[in-house]
Amino acid sequence: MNQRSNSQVCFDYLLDHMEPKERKRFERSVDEDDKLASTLLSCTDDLTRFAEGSAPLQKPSGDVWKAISADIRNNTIDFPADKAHRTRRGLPWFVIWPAAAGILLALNLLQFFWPRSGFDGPGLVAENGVQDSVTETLIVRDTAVSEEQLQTLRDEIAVLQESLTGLNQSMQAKELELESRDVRLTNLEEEREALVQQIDNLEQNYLALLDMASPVLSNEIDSRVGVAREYVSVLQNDDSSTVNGIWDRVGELLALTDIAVLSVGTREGSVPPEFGDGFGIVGSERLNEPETSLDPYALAFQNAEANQTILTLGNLPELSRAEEMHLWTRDRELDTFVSIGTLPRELHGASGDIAAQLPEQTSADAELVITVEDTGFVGDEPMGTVLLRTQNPPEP
Amino acid sequence: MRRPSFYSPKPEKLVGQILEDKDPKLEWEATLSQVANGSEPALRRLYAEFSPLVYTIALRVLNDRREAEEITQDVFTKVWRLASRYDKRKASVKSWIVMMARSASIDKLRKRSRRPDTDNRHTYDVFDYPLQDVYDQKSPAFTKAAALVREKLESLRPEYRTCLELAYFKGYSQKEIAAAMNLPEGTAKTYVRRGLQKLRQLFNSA
Repeated sequence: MNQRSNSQVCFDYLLDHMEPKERKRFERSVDEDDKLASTLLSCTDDLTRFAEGSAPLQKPSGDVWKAISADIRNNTIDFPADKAHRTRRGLPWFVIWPAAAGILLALNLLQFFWPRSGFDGPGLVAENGVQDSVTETLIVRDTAVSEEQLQTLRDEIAVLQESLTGLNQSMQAKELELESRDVRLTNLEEEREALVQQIDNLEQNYLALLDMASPVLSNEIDSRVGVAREYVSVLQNDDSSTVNGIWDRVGELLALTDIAVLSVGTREGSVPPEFGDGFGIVGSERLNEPETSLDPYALAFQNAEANQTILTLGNLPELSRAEEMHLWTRDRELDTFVSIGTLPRELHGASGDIAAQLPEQTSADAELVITVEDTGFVGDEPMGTVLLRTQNPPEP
Repeated sequence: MRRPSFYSPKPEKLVGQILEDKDPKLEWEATLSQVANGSEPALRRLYAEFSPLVYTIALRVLNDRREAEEITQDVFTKVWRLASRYDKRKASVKSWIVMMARSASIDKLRKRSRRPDTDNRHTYDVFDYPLQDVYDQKSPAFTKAAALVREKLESLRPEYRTCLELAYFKGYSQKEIAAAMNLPEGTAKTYVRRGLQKLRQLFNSA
């Protein structure tokens, strides 16, 4: 962005003349920079005026409003995220299943605060067990919802997972075709159409979640769906270079599942009052950017009130009995490590969530590091290989 | 979901009216906050004010009345659904709605035609409509605004205008604009940049 003025960058963003990664960086910058946000607002208004003055205004037929109004009254579109508009007549799935998921996640997260004897590290306070799939996590503790509601929840999650699996398979098929060079992308219009549709469906599936999630996590999901859409746009150009980034995208989408599910747990109002407002979660950060859907990944959610980090971990490696994974914090300024504990063996070759109690002296921008060490390793700093670590903070 | 800070208590006045002593932007923000609270009349006011612009943009992009109406419907159902997520730091309510309209229209255009229609492409002139059409609106404030903008846009060089049209209404990349206008890519890029700079000058001098 150095060689372009702020307004040029804003216009590039608004006119879709940015690469997906640059878009993400820009969006982060706007969130942090009021001056840039102000320029964006001004540029957006300029383009609106341009659109306004570029053609005579015409009115849609009266049927359009009738259709919108009918949709709203018949509950065939989502509600605003506000209680005032909710109806008591037959709750649709997009109300039921986020609510049910929220309740169940709250119950799951409750487990974080129960000390476990099986937990090796001195600082780790709890674990919620292993989640081999999102579905299992959500249905494992059914105490508050009806069987019918649970079934709805299972069905919707299954659809979501099918979408992701189908997307992954389509991508694999496409890559094979590209490798063979016998099939030109121009012959795959139907498949591309199906992919676009899948992304649309995926986005729709998450909209209910987005309305319920905390702002921080909403933005996270929104950003990832945006990235996915960008890749679809790229895919639509018939160019062999389009294969670049496909696997990043699949990885993003797979990771999205966990984020979305966790975000329901942070929804205000769904958390038992004794845990306060949304568990006090104030932010999230990635420990890495998975390059493929099979790579390990981790997301950390900071609970400032409890001085805890909730980690959602995925695709962790299968280790021999001679090895184990250690969680550390690293003070960026002093370059010193503090051992938090050892990850439970149930997470080896699996995915799951844990909550870690951080030392009191942990600085706000401390880095989280997961390393692979010899079993029984004790030391002041890691000696083994780094598996995951907090990414560098964004440049100012 | 937490509300942005502007969600203060509801104003007493009918906020859909554009009054000289009120800032329209604030009025529409208040209206949108009512939509976020589930007010259908507030959505109706937004629709009455902005649906012509949404429909016109969709029509300009898609050149199909039925599809443009579908987009208009989609945009306002999105407004209904996503009102609570509006961020006033990044766009005015009007621009937020307009950007949704543009984005949805271009998505639809891309779905309809997977690749740019280079064979049948023609240049677009923003002024190929009679000016009096702009006045065919019930809201005097809205009409006046549109006419003033149009007047200003007439001072843009035609090649700049065309580049901006292709970028805005067709979602073309700079490379595609160059191909459409039979220009070197660098020249097309320059035209887009200068056009946008000029646009800012025009509106900032208002």
